[in-house]
Amino acid sequence: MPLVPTEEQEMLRKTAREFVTENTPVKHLRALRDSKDAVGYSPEIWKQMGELGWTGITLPEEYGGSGLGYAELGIILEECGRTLTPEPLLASVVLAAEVIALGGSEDQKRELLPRVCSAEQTLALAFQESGRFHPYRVATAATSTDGGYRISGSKQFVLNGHMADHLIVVARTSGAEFDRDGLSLFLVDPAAEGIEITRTSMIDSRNSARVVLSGVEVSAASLLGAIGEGAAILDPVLDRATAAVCAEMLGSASEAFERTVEYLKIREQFGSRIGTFQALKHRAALMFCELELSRSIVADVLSAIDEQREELPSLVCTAKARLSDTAALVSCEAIQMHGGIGMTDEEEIGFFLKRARTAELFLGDARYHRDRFAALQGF
Amino acid sequence: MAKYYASESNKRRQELMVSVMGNRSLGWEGEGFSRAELDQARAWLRSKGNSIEGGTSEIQLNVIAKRVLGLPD
Repeated sequence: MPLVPTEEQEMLRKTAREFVTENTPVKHLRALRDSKDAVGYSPEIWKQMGELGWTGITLPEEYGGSGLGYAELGIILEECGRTLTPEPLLASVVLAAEVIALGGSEDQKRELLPRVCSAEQTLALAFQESGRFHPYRVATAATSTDGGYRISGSKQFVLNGHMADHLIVVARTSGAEFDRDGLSLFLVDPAAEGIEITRTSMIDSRNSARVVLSGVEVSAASLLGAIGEGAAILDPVLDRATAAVCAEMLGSASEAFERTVEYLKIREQFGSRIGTFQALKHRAALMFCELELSRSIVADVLSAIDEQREELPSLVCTAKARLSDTAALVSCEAIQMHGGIGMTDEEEIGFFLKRARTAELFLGDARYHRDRFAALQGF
Repeated sequence: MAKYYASESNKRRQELMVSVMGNRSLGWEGEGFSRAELDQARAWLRSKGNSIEGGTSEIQLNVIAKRVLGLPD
């Protein structure tokens, strides 16, 4: 694993930082939240991200993508994390488009991927059905009909669910809830009869929706991959998306930490700057060390995807467990060290705490990934 | 000591609730969440102020170190 970034990667980071600083600073998210924006992100900025090639960065060039690696995607997401950028890169490009790229037929790829890459359309993957993540906890059922399938069930916390041009729904065609076998993936038109989509307002002010399917009819051609074998596509996609969200969390935690250290240097209390107090110095130093370890594991897990290393699932668990712990530590310490001002909505540091917690829970928190790590290692 | 432990244990308790309830405890508004779930999100956020208001946890520990243990400044 190369630990020194290439010249191209340095350039990409510089471009990404300039772009997010200019176009999506934290006040961009605040404005969307305050105006209760119906979209939840800026379609105009999304178009610009498309022009920069971000909306197809890891997708194959033959479908309009840039064909770059997760190391490069990670750089962009880390920079997006620094400003809490709400545009749906994770939801549409990483989660949903990867399902099509990995599991779709040639026709499905040709039809959908170029539109994702060009930022004309967005997608959403509807998998979660309860508050806590479990990849196979799927009760939504799909039954065979003449020439297709009928799907019924309820999905929660579908990122970009209320804006997506196409939904990918994980449904059960056999087996019981929590079984890995028997999951199937379907392309579903969000305007189809029997679908009800309600946007849910979360503390991190990101797009999220509840999707209820009541006897929704889809054609046989909307099946992605083989029937009952959806987990073979879902597993690697969720691993990649988990690594990707770790990169975003690294950016957010680094930014929250740097803002806090700056505050320790200027805030005066009891006649001295609070950064002179050893109790705070040690805690700041500890956070720095935790962030450095987090940075290393993120670089490793992203390169493991690009190098197709076999230990990827275990590495993903290690990364998400560590990043969740680091995000929790840094976001809480950031508030505590800012003191009373950190509790106010005028101060931006609170936005970092709110996003940290939803990112921690997204695709499994530290407890989930430690447990999965133990299972993978046969403990 | 009471102030320190009450603040810190309430923060831990609220974090445990978020961990148990998952995303159901991180809703802000709207019909997708029950009143109890929306209250939980606010209780979690509010708990972060416990260790700041009325003398921070750091100040409580300083007082214990100085007054109770008699450690030098």
